[in-house]
Formats: sequence, C-alpha cells, structure tokens
Amino acid sequence: MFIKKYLIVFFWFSINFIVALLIFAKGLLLHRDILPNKADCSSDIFTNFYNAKKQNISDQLTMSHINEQFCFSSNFKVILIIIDALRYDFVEYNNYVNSSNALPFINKLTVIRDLLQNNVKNSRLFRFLSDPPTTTMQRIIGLTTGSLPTFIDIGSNFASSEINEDNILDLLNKRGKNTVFLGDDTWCKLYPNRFIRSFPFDSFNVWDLDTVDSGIQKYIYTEIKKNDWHLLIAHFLGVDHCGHRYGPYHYEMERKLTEMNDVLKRLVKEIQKQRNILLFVIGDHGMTSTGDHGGDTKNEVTTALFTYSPFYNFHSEFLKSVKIVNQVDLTPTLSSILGIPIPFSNVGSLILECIPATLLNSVSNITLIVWRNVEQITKYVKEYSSKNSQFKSTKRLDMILHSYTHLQQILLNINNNNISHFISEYEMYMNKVLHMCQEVWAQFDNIAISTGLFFMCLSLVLCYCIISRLTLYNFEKYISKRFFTVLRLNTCLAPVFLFLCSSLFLTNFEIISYIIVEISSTLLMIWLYKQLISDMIFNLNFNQFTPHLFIFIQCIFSFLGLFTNSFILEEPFVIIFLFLSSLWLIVIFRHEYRKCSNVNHILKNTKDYFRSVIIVSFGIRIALNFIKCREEQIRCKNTIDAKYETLICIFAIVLIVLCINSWQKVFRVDFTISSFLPNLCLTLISSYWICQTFLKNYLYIDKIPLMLLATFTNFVKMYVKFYVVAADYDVSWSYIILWGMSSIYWFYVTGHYASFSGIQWNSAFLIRKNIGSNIFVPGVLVLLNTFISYVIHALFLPLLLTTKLTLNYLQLVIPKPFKNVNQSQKIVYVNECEAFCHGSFILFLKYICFFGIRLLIVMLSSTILSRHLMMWKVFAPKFIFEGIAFIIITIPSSLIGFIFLFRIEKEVRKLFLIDKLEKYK
Amino acid sequence: MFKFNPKLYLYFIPTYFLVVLVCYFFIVLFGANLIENIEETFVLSCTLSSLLLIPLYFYCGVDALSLLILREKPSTLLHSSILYVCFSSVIGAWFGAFVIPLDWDRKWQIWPVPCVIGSLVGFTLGHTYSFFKVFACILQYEIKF
Repeated sequence: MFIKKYLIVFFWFSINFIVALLIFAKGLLLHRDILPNKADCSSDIFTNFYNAKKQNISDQLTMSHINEQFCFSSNFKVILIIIDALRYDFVEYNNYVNSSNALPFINKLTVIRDLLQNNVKNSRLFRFLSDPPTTTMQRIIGLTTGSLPTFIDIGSNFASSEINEDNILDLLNKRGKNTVFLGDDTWCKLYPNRFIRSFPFDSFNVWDLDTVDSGIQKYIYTEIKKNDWHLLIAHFLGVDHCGHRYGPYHYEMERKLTEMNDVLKRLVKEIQKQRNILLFVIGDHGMTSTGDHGGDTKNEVTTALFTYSPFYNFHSEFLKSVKIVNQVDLTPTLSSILGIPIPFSNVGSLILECIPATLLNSVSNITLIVWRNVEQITKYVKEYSSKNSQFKSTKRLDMILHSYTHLQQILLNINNNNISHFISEYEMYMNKVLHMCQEVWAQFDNIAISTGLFFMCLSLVLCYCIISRLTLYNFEKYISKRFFTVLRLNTCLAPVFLFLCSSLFLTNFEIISYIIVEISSTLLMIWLYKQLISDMIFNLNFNQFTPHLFIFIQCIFSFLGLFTNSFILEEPFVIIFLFLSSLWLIVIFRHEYRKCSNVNHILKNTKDYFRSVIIVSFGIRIALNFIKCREEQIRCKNTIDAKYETLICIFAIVLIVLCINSWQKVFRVDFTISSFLPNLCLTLISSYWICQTFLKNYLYIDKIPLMLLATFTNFVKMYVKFYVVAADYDVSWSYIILWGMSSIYWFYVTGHYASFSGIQWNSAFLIRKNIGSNIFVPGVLVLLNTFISYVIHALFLPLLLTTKLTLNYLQLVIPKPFKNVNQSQKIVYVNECEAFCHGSFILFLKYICFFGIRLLIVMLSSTILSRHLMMWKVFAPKFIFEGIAFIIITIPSSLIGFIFLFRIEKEVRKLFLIDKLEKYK
Repeated sequence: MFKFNPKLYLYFIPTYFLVVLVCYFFIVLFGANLIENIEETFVLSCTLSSLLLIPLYFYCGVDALSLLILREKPSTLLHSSILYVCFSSVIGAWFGAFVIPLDWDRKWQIWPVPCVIGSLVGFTLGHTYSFFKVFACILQYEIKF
C-alpha cells in the first residue's frame, strides 16, 4: 500500500515541475503559426470590392479594369539597401552638434541630409520601428513576408530554414520578375533559388568588419547597370559587426558609417542616370549602447527608412506630421510599387508617402490600392483565427471585424471629399490589427516568466527539504492522512475554480489553468513546508576533504557554464572534462582501501579498480568522436566518416559479444530470459546491420549503429559504476550528479545537439516510409532517437541502488551490513523491503531534483540573456531541449523505472516468501 | 640527501618518458585530440610531467610514484610540501582548461597555452604555500640547521 503513497507524492512533484515549466515557456517562447496560403491576383479581394461598390459604381471600374489594376503592371524597379543595425540617430542630421567633438556615429551619412534638403518632393526619411526579437534573421523574414516572425514559427518544415510563408520574393518570381541579391548569406539560407543572381558572403564571423561590405561594393555597381531585375537587395553587415565588436562609440564606427556614406553617394549618382528606379535605405534593427541587439528597448527598435526617387515625386496628399512607420509597412508598400499582390500573412499597412504619385493619381486608384491591403489583412486575420485561438483570447477580434464593416460602409460612398476620412479610418483599422498581433506575437510575458521561475524555485526547495528530511520513520508524520485529504480536496476544487475564473473575468484559459493547479499545490506545499521547516537544519558539513565536495563544485561549474553561449556550444567537451575529473577524484580519494591493512589486498583491489576505471574512461573518451558539430562551433570537426561505418559496426559487434560473454561469466546467469535475450538482441542487431549494408535503399537509418555502440559502451560503464557506489540505501548526491552528467554527455555523443537543425528526422521513417497523417508514431520515434540517453539513464537509475547487492554477489567488495549474508542467497534486500522502497523513492526524487536545478539554471540564463545576440540561436533552443528532456523523457522514464523496480521487488518477495514457507514445512 | 646517486639518474630518463606518456594519455582522455595538435599536447604533457616528476623524484626518491599510488600519508614535512606542489600544478592546469572554450579569440586562449600557464601558476602557488608552511614549522619548533 505504501508504494501507492510514494507514487502519488512522486507524481505530485512531477506535476509541480511540469506546470511551472509550462508557465515559464508560455511567457518566454513567442510563437506563431505559419499559414500555407499564398496571395494571387485574381482572389476574392476583387469580388468583395466589387460587391461593396456595385451599388454606385458601374462606369469607371469595369471588371477587366479592376483586374488589371489589382496586379498593377508597374515599371518601377526598387533598390533595397539594408544596413544592418542602422539606428535612427546614425541617420538623422543634427545641426546643433559641432563636428569636431561629435560622437563617432553622429552626422556621418551626409548624403541623406543633402538629398532631403535638395529634393523635398522625392525623398523621405522616417523613423522605422522594428519589432522584437530584433535579430537579423527574424527581421529579414519580417521584411519579406510583412509579418511579425517570432522565435518559433510553427510551419510545415522544421528541418530546413527555408521560408515557405508567402513572401515578396516568391510573388515576384510568380509574376516573372527577377531579384538580385548581394550581402549577408542568411538571405540565401532563408530563400534558396529565389534570386537570378546572388552574391552571398559569410555573416558568421562577427569580428570581420569589411568582407561583406567590400564584396557588395565589388558587384553592386555593375549589377545596377543591368536591366533584367526588378528588385535588388544589398545587405551590408559592417555597421552591425562593428557594433558587436567595438560598440557604437568607437572610431571604427565612424569609419564604417563614412564608408556607407560613400557607397550611398555613388549609388545615388548611378540611379540618377536611369529612370524609374526607387532607392530604399533601411536598417533592420538598431543597437544598444554596447552594440548588442535582440530585445525591445528603444535603441534596438528604432531604425531609419530613407526613400529616394530621382524622377517621380512621391505622393504627398496625406502627409502625416509624425514620421514614424512600422517595419512591416515596407512589405505592402514595396509590393504595391512593384506591382505584385501583397503577401498573404502581411500585417503592415501602406506607407502612402513612399509610393510614387503616378500610382495614386485618382481617387479610385487610391481606394483600390488601400482596399486591397484591407481585404488582404482581414482575410488573414479571419483565416488565422479559424486555425488558432491566439487571437480569440485577446477579445479584440470582434472589435476588428466590426471596424471592418464600418470601413466597408465608408467605401460605399467614397468620393473626393471624404477620401481623407477614409484614409484615416483605414490607418486606425490597420493599427488595431497590428497591435493585436504585436500583443500576441512579439512581447515577452514577464508575469508568466517570473511566475514560472517562482514556482520552479518553490518546488525545488520543497523537493530538497523532502529529500533531506524525509526518512522511513517519519514518513507517516509528514505524508500523513491529512496530506492526502488536502491533496484530494485540491484535485476536486481546482476544476471548479478553473471554471469560475475562466467564465467570470479571465480569458487566457491555458495560463489560468496552469496557475490554478500551481497555486493549489503551492498551498499544499506551504502546509507541508511549515511542518518540515520546524525541524529543518541545513547541514552542509564539508569539513571533510572529500571528493563529494569537489564533485559538488564541478556540478556548480557545469551549471555556471550554462550562462555563456560558448560553454553551451562546447558542452560535450565541458561535460566529459568534468565527468572524468569527478570519476578520477572518486578513484583517487576512495576511502575503502585505506581501511584495509593487508598490502597485497590493497594492490589487488587497486589493480582491478584502476583497470576498470581506465576502461570506462577510455570508452567515454572514444565516444566523444561521435559528436556532431554545430555550425557555430568553429574549431570542431566531425571525426566519424561515413566510410568507416562498416568498420565501426564490426567493432561494435565484437565489443557487444565480449561484453555479453564477460557479463554472463561473471553473473553465471541461469534465468531463462536473461540468458538468451542478450544473444537474441545481438543477433537481431547484426542482422539489421547486414541488411542495411546490402539493402541500403530499403532501410535508411545510418545513425542507429552509432547509437547502439554508444548505448553499449554505456552498459560497460554501468558495469564499472558498481565499483563506485556506496553501500547504503542512501545514494550520495555525487553519484546522482555523475549519473546526470553522464546522461547529458551521452545525449551529445549519440550525435545530437540542442538545436532544431540537429534533429535527426530520418528516424521518423523507421517503421514506414510514407508517414501520412499519423504523426504520433514518427514523433515518438524522433523523440526516442533524440533523447535515448536520458531514457536509458532514467530507467536504469535503480542500478545505483542495487549495486551493492550486485557487488555482494560478485564477491568483490562486501559492504558491511551484508557480511553475514549467505552467498548463495541471491536476493538480500527482501527483509528490508520498506527501506528499499523508501531509498529508491528518495533516489528518484534526487535525480529529478538534479535535473530540476539544471533546468532552473537554463531558465534563469535564458531570462537574463533574453537580449543576447545568441538568444534565439543558442539559449532558447537549449531551454526547449532541456525542457522536453525533463518533461517528456526524464520524469516519465523515471516513473516507469520506479514502478518497474517495485514490480520486480514485489515478485521477488513473493518468491522469497514461498521459499521460506517451504523451508518451514 | 643530495648526494650523487648514479642509479637515480639512470632510472630518471625512462621514468620521465613513462610519466610523459601517462600524462599524454590523461590529457587525451580529458578531451584533447589524439593525433591532431600532437605537438601542443606533447608540450603540455612534458610541462606537467616535469613539474610533477622532477621535485618528487629527486626529493623523495625512486619510490615516489608508488607512494602516490598507495596513498600513504606523507611522513615528512618535505614529502607533504612536495605533494602540495604536485597537486597544485595539476589543479592549475585543470583550471586553465576553462578559458579554452570561450569565444574571445585571444592568442593566449589557444591550446595548450592556458593549461601550461595554469600549471606553472599552480606550481608557483604550491611552492609559495609550502614555503610558508615550512617556515611556520621552523618558527614553531625552532629547528636549527
């Protein structure tokens, strides 16, 4: 019966951790669904428009006329110059600053000032507000799709970084127009094969200020003279890299900006020779005073948009007094100028001041251009909210649909007099939509983040209290009947509260449900904690010079490493370093052989001991060759070649045979299953590999052998772990730390790393090549393949506990309490059944607690570093991987291991009792 | 103690090579490349084994290594201070490894510079510590030479 109690408490703890984690993730990970829809010219935008207008329009807008107008056959060509990290105050000319003592970035782009002064009608400068996350990749997606990309854009393809969402480049291609690209190679990764000519340059080396820029300058002037393109994109990186390396206050910034000025000057000269070219100069994001970006402070968000058209005046009828536009507004503007449909998922509105006046020469033209933007965005909002509940939860959706009908009413009676009213209504409408989207997609939810962190800390503290205070004898005192009564009451009341809250005043159902679960269990926790705290003494006595202290320190080191991106990137190396240090510390400072008096005994023991530890360390080190390198790791090289795969397979098989042989020799296994199962597995594995070699077309998993090799080295390691573990039901923290470190290490060594590009999708096709609509089985396969190390470690965690029994059986070291036990007696723990159960419960809690602390550190690091350059590349994926490993893998696996252990224990006890009874007879 | 013992010097060279190899093995075990950067790793292992072996060997004699392995408590003050020096140089090298993964792109971050510097610093610190310890002992017991 008491097993059930343990299970409930264990389960309760897991729920607490999971809910805390989910609340946190909800706040930190901004996400958005990608819709597969594409815009085209002959859409129902036209019919809606026609229906709305047909009462009073028949003469000036015939169907064909409108149809043509909708994908205006425009002759304009656009040069889009993107200067990375171009903050607004880099551009705006400040007359009051003395040039001698000005900051390095002030008043350097003189060409823009000159153009603005001399060409009032055909040049414009705006403040250009980008949306967080202000990282280059997200901004590029934002500029081309007109949407607000979040960190996780949930689309159909996780595997490659290619953008499938509707975007300007695809629409241009569809209309037979061409794009030329120069600069940052991120573009070519996001949009492969979209450009007729592209000149990408490596963007990864942040310390290189000039390669990209000089590369662009080499080609751009000849490209401008060619006639086959409609959009030319040049993405300069020098300013951004200068910011990262030196910050904006360095004289290098002056040099880079002056260089940009020269480039622009020459470009303007070239453009003035040709007709119908428009120049757009924009920054994709700003930078902070230290040169970083990624967050949502004013300096990071505010950039500049400068437009210049040498021959055509810009539209000037509805000039706004405040010259601020959003970054997403560029997309519909560009598509209107270039004569393509507006991308389906665009949420920006037109910048009418940037559109040449020739396109807006009549009321009907203006209404058409504006109305197709309105129709497009309304269609998008409707489509998105039918697929996803994110919009519905804000309650703004109804308001937006209402103002849409209002706008339709105005459209019906449009004429020269009320056009300005229409435009202002249109702008209000677009703003509403954009605000709703920003609220849902682009803001960290600080309350959820801090709540998640708080609950996580609380759960961990309680977990630690329970681990350190709960013994077999006071179990009934703490986890009493009252505890369960309160727990039951909670479980009953939580849904009622949930229902009340969600129906009465709060709308965000998910968060509320999480919080209520958490609050109810927090009350329980506080109640339990009050009891525990009364006789709580923090006894961290490290007065002894023990290896445990060192392992503890190393564990802290490995946690601290999670605060820097380079340590996360190089984690396998860090972990193997710390792991082997800990292992060898235990070896060197082992206590047992100080107690022995006989020198020969010491020598024999030491020899055995050292041999096994050397074998283990060797195995672990060899496994390091199997790691996959991330693209960010510059010094790393993939050492294992596909050529050697057969060799490795053969080696692995030999190793496994040796292992199983020695295993069976030592244990003299005589149970049926355990004697033939390893051999059966071996046969199956070898035959699988043979099949794979000959039928390569049918079976396509090349990583499996590596995984199995790693797994089996793992077994060898477990075999040796027997030597290290202390003899008590209380497993020391050091071994838990070692075990946890090893599970992290083997995650890397099985060829994975914490990034979405590192997921091995091939494993999804293991069972069937044609997946179809059933995603569950492939999903489980991918998860298992990725986190197999965590699964194995959690399942085999009881090994740490049963080791001493095994040791006893192996007759190598006989722990004190078992010295008198008869050797033929295979099961010794039966008499101490309850102590055993309790010990294993504490063991599992400790394991969960270790990973909980690690996860808390990851959460903290991604909160603190949410403005870091590498946030979305390193820290956030790290958090997601750790979170998944914790929730989906470690907790359930250890639960299964726990239940499994109890089951074995129960059956064994039965056997033993029968045995005993027979003896009595 | 410092009298000339030809046997001691004869045995030194093979022992030294053995220790260099053992050091190399351990450095590779802890994550260095086996064959690439062989020169750099060799430099580190030579440094470490010099720092470890030379004081231990010439002060404590041939049995020094077995003394280490059997982990008997150091019997004399000299022994214990030499052991301190050994441990501190190893720990120094260990700490040196922590700056290698950082992406600062400094010249002193290149393998094995931080580890060599760390071991030297550890060696110096260990010597300083044992010097003060011996000094304190001298003061305490008023030992006269």
